[in-house]
Amino acid sequence: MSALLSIRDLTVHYRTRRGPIPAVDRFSLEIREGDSVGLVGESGCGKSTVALAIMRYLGTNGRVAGGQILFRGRDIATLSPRALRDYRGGEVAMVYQEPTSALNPSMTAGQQLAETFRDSDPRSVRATVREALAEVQIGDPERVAAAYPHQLSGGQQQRVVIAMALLSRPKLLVLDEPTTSLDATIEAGIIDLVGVLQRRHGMAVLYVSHNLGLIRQTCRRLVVMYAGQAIETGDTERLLVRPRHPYTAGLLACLPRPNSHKQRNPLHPIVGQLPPPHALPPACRFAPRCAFASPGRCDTLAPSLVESDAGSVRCIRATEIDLSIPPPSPEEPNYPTTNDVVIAARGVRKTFALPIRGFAELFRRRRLTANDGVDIVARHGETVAVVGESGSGKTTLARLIAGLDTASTGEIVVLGEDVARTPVADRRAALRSTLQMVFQDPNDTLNPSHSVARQISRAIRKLGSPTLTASARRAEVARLLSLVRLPPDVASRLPDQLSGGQRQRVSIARALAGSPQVLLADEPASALDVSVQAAVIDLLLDVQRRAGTTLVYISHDLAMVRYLADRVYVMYRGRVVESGPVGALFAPPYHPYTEALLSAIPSVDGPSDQRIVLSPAGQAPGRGCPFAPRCPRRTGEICDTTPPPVQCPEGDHMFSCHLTPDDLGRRQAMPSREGR
Amino acid sequence: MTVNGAPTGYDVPAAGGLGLRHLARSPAALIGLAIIVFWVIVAIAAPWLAPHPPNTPLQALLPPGSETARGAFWLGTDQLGRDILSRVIWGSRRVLLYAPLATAFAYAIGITIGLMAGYWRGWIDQALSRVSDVVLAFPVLVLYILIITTIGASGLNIVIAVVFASTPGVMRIVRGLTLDARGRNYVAAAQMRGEHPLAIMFVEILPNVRGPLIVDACLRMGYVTIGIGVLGFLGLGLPPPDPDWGGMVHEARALAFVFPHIVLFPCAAISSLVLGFNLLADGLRELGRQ
Amino acid sequence: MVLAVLKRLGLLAATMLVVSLVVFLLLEATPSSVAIKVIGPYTTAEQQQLWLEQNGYLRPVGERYVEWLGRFLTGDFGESIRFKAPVAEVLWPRLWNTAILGLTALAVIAPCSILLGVIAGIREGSPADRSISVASIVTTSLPEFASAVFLAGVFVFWLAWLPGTSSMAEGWDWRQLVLPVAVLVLYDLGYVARMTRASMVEVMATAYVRTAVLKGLSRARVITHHALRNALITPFTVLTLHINWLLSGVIVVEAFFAYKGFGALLLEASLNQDIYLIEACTMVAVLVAVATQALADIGYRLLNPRLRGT
Ligand SMILES: Nc1ncnc2c1ncn2[C@@H]1O[C@H](COP(=O)(O)OP(=O)(O)O)[C@@H](O)[C@H]1O
Ligand code: SF4
Ligand code: SF4
Ligand SMILES: [Mg+2]
Repeated sequence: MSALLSIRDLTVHYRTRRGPIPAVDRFSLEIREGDSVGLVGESGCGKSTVALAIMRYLGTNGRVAGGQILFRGRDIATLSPRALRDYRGGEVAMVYQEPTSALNPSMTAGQQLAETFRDSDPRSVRATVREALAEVQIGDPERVAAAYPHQLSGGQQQRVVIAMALLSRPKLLVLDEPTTSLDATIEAGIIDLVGVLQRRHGMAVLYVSHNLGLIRQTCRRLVVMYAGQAIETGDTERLLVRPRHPYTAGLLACLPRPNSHKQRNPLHPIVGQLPPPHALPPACRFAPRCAFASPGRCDTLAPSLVESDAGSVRCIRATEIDLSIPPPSPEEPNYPTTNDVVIAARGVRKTFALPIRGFAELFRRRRLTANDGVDIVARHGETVAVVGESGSGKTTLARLIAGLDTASTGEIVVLGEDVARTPVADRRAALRSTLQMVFQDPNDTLNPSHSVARQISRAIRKLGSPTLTASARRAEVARLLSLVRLPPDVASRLPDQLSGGQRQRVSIARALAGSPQVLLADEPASALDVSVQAAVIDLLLDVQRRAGTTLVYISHDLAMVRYLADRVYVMYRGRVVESGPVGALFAPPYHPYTEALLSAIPSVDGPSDQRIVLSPAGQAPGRGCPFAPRCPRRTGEICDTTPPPVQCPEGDHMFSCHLTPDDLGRRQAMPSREGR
Repeated sequence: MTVNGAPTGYDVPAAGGLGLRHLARSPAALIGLAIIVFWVIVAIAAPWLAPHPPNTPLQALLPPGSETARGAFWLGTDQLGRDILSRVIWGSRRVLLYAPLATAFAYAIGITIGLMAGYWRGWIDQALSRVSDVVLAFPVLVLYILIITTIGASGLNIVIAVVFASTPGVMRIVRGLTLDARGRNYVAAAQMRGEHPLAIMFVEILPNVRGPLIVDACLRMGYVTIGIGVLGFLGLGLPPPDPDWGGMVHEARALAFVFPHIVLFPCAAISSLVLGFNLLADGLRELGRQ
Repeated sequence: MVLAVLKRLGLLAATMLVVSLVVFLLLEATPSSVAIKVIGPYTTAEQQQLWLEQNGYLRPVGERYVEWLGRFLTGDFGESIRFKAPVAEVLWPRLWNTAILGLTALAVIAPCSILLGVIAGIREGSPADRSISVASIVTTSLPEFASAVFLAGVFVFWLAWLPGTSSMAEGWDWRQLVLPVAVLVLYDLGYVARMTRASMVEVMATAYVRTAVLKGLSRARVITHHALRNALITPFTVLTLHINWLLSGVIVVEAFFAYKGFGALLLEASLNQDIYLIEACTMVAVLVAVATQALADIGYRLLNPRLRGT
C-alpha cells in the first residue's frame, strides 16, 4: 500500500497579538489508502490545526511555517484554486464537532447536499440525495431532505454532514471530534456508521478525538499529540495496553476502568496543565508534569521522536522507565456513611410552559414535563448518581433540589424540611450553607469580573462566617484554595487567567465555604479534558472522604458513574426508570434503557462489538412505557398501552418494565442481536 | 460549552478590560479619544483660548483670510460682527455640558430599569418594555420637537427631552444583556449563597455587561451631540446670544450660500466631535471582539 | 405565522393608541394653553373662556380624548391655525413631497449600502474593508445640517452646479432634489453599510461557510448561496427600521433646503404652536415608523427559516 497522505515536518503558526504562536511543531504523519488513524490529545494540543492544515484551511491568521503535506505525492500547497476545490470536495472531506453550526440554517438539508454535484437533471439529483441520506441510515430521507437543520436532531444533523462529505466518494475522511456534542447512545450509532462506510468504500479515515475509548474502536493506528508535537505513535492496541510515553500512560491512568471503583482504585490525574503555546518548556514539553522527569536531562535536552518496530516515542527515558499502570492502592480509602436520609424527594413534577404556536394554544398552553414523578433518596456520606441522556431531566431535578426552580408538585425534603416550593432566596440561611452546587460549564461558573479571592470571600460571608475579620477571611480563602489543591496566588487572579480545571476547583472551593453536607454536582467534569476531569473527580471524592459530604452527581458518563457512585438513578424522559446500588445496577438484569446506555460506553478495554444502537428519541407515547418507541427489548402491544410495573430484583434495586427480572436476565445474558 | 474546541483562556483579555493600555492597540480608539480630549480641553480653557469675547459685535461678515481678518479673526466674523473662532470655542462648552449630562442620566435610569426588567422578567418586564416600545415608536427628532414645543426650550428641558428619548434604548440593551447573563451559572451561584436580587443585578451582572454598554454609551454620546446640534439648528435649542454650534448655523442659515464660512466652522466642530465619539466606540468594539 | 402577524398588527394598533393618548395629553391636557395657542396670547381671559366653551373644552379630559380620537380616525384633524385651512388639506401634498424625497434616498441607500457592506465584510481587514469602514464612520459622524453645509459649500457656493434651495417654486425640478437626497444618503448610507459589513463578517466566520468552502464550492457560490442568504437578513431589518431615522433626517434636510415637505411642515407647526397640525404630523410620522417596524419584524420572520414555522 502506498501513502495516500503524508505530512512531513508540518509546522503551523497562528498570528496573535503576542506574536506568532507555534500550534503545531514539526509534525509528521502518514496515512495509507483505507487506513484508519486516530489523533488524540488534550484540547489545545494542535489536533484541529493538523486537521485543518490537511484541508489547507487555516483561516486568516494561520500559516504553514514549515514542512509539507503531500496527497498522493503532490504538495497541496502548490494546488491551483481550481485544483484545490477538486481536492477539498473530491479527495478529502471533513466532518467537525458541532453539526448544528456546520449546516447552513437557511437551506434545507437536501439543498445543501444537492449543490455538491454539478448534475443538472433535478430528478437524478433528488434521487442521489435520497440515496446519500439512506446510506447514512436516515430512516425517512424524503422528510430529512426537505427539513431545515434546526428541524433535525443533533444525530441526524451529523449524519447529514457525513452524507455531504461522502457524496464525492473521498479517499480520506477527516473527522474532528464528530460526536463530542452528542449523547453516548447517538454517538455509538455515528461511530458504527463511519466504520461501515469506511469498509464499504475503502476510505482512509483520520479520526481526531480526545476520547481514547472511541479511538480504540475506530482506529488501527494512533498518534498522541502533546503541545503541538507528536509524542507517541503506534498500533492502537499496543499503545493502549503498553504505552511507552509517560503522557500516554498518564492519560490511560485517568480513565475509570470497568471493574475499578473509588473504594479500590483511585484515579491518577496528571498534575498541572497543558502549557500555553507561547510559554513552552524549553526541552521536553511534558517535563513539568512528568512523574519520571529527570532533572538535568529532561529540562535541557529536547527529546526527538525515536522510531522502532512498535511505533515511535518522544521521550529520553522511554527505555528506562516502567509505565505499567500503577497497582490498586493498598489501603482502602474510607468513606464514612450513615443511614440518615439527607435528601428525600417524592413524586417531584416540574412542567414548563412552551411558547405559543397556534390559536388553540392561546387558551391552552402546551407544557413540557421535565420531571414526571421523580422519587430519589440520598443518605449521609454517600454518592448518588443521576444518569440519563441530555434532556432526560437531570439538571431540572438538580435545580429543583437547589431551589433555583420550584417544583410544580411533589415534595423535596432536605434535612427534614420540605423545600419543594421554596426558592433558594426564601430558604433558611443554614439550609443554604448546607446544600451547595457545582456547575457544569467552567466558563461561566465564576463571575468573570471578580477575582477568585473576592468570589470566595463573598461565599464565606454569606454561607460560612459573616463576622470574620478581613485577615481571617483571607486566611480562610487560602485554606479553601489549598483544600482544592490550588496555590494561594490563584486568589488574586481573574477567572480568565485560569484554565478550565482550575476554574472548576475554585467553584468547588466556593461551594465548600459553608462546609455543606450536600453537594449537587451537575456534570462537574464533562466539559474538561480527561486528565483534568480525573483531578476534579478525585478532589470531590477527597472532600467527601474528609467531611462525609453527600454527593449528588449528575452525569451522562456511565463509566465515571460506575467508578464513583454508591447508588444510581437512571432517568428517561423525566422519570426514573431504574435505581439501585451501583453493583446491582451495572450487572444484569437491567432495564433495557440502562442496558443500551451501558453498551454505548466507549471503553479502552474489552471487546466492543455488543453495542446497542438506539434510534433517536421520537414522539413521546401517550400512555404505556416512555421508552417503548426506542426499546430493543419491547415485548409487544402492552408496552405501548399500559404503564410498566415496578420490578424489584433484589434489595433496593428496582426498575419499571413489563419484563420480569428473570425474563430480562435470560435475554441479557446473551449478546444482543441489535448490535452489529 | 464547547468541550474540546474550548478556548484555553490564555489569550483572553480580562472581561471588558478597556483600560488605557488596551486602547493603545486600537488606532481608531486612540484618535477618537484624542479628538474628544481636545474638545474637552478647549471647553475648559475657553476663557483663555478665545481671542475675543464671543458675543461682542466687532466687524461684520469678514471671511477668513480677507485683508482685515488676517491675524485678528482667524475664522472670520459673522453677520453680527462676532469673532467666529471665539464663538466656536465657547460653543464647545454647551455641547460638552449637556450631551454627557443627558447621556449619564439616561444611562443611570436605563441601566436600573433594564436590569430589573431582564432579571425579574414577568410583568415588570412586560410593562417596562411596552412603555419603551411606545417611546421608541417616535422618530427621535419628532419626539424632541414635541417635547420642546410642550415644555419650551431651555438647557434643562433639552436634557429632559434627551433623557426621555434615550432611556428606552439603553434599557433595551441592558435588558437583553441581562437576560443573557441571568442564565449564567455565576448568577445561580450567587442565588445559592443568598445574595439580594439588587446585589446580583448590580454586583454580579452589571460588571459583566459593561463592555457593550461602554461602546453603546460612546455611540449614544455621538447621537446626543447630533441631536442637541440639530435642535439648535432648527431653532429649538438654547436661546441666543450665547454661542451654540447648532444655533450658529441656524442664525446664519440664510447666508449659508453667500458667506459659507459662518456656518462651515461650527459644522466642522460638531462633526469632529461626533467623529471622535464614533471612532472611540468603533475602536472599543473591535477591542472587545478580540 | 399568521398568528405572529396578527399579534404584531395588534401590537401596532395598541402602540398607536397609546401614542395618540400621549400626544393628546401633551398638547391638549390643559385647555387654557390650547386657547392661548389657538386664538393668540393677546386675548382677554373672557375671550379665551368663551372660545373654550364654544369648542367643548370644558368637558372632562377623557371625554374630549375619545371624541378627538373618533374625529382623528375619520380623517378630520381639525383646522390649522397657521394655514387657516383644514389640516388634512395642508398635510397630504406635503406628505407626498416627502415620500418622493425619502423614497429616492432609500432607493439609493439600499443597494449602495448593501453592496459596500458586503464588499467590506467578505474579507475582514482587507484594503476595501478598511477604506469602506473609515469612510462610513466619517459620513455617519456628520450631522445632516453639517453635511448639508459642506455639500452646499462645494456644489452651490464654489462650483455653482446646483441650486441651494429646493422649494420647487418654479415647478418641479430634479436638480433641486439632488442635494437633499445626497445629504440623507450620506448620513444613512454609512450606518447601513456598517451593519451589513458586521453581519457579513460574522457569517463569513461561521462553521457553515467553512463547510461550504471545504465542500469544494467556488468562492462565488459560497458567497452568493451561503453567506449572503444569511447575511442579508440583517440589512433588511436595519433598512426598514431605518425609515424611523430617515423621518428625523427629512425634517433637517427640508428645513435647510426649504423643501416643501412634511418635515418642514412639522417644524413650522411647532415653531408656530399650531397644535392641531403638530398632532396630525406626529401621528403620521409615528404611524409610518411603527408600520415599518412591524414590517421589519414580519419580514425577519419570513426570511428566517427558524421562525417561519412558529
Ligand atoms: N485561529 C487561531 N488563532 C490563534 N490561535 C489558535 C487558533 N486556532 C487554534 N489556536 C491555538 O493553537 C493551539 C492548537 O489548537 P487546536 O489545533 O485547536 O488544538 P486541539 O484541536 O487539539 O484542541 C491552541 O493553543 C489554540 O489556542
Ligand atoms: S523526556 Fe523526561 S520529562 Fe519528557 S516525557 Fe520523557 S521522562 Fe518525562
Ligand atoms: S416496558 Fe416494554 S418498552 Fe418499556 S422498557 Fe420494558 S420492554 Fe421496553
Ligand atoms: Mg479541536
